[in-house]
Amino acid sequence: MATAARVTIAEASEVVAVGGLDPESVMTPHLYIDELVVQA
Amino acid sequence: MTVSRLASAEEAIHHVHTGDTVMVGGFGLVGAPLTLLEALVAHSDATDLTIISNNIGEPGKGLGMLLRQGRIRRGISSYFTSNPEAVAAVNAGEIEATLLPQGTFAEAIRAGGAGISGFFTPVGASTACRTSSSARSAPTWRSCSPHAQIRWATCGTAARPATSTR
Repeated sequence: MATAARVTIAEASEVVAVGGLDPESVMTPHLYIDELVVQA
Repeated sequence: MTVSRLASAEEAIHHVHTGDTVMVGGFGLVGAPLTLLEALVAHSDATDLTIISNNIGEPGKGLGMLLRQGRIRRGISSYFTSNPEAVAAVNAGEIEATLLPQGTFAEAIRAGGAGISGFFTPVGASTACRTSSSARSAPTWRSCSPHAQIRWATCGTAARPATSTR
């Protein structure tokens, strides 16, 4: 989805520090994301 | 491409303008960006939207809120039946519907993002729609009508719903 969009807004249930995620578990790399929003 | 940053839902949602095409993730309400959708409902007046999403939410929930506000012009989806109000809106002619088989729907998005102009799907091959004149004569995906696009996607010819800029 992110690759097919002009602007991508990601809604994350939790934001962790750099290194806090196993790279293998990342499905959408950050460079496809324009805005990051934390879920309310 | 810009560097991503933390934004409030109200700030982020201002990327959406009237007439835009918005792809929304999730399978029904599961995995859907409900915070962003609530911000779109409450803090944006963007209307006449084309929604590319698996469903149109549920009655009054997720994209169903946007439907009740009358801000959806067209839905490109896999199925609408999780929201009977969406089905009723289609039957009443209030919104346009483009329904694609689940795999064709997902592959059309992937192909659009990868810059692939078309792909083969066996769905519809050897059926009446394969021989329709609009499917045979349409020169490109983008130049044909939404109805013909459905035929293309289901007639083993080509599918590409979105214009990629990446």
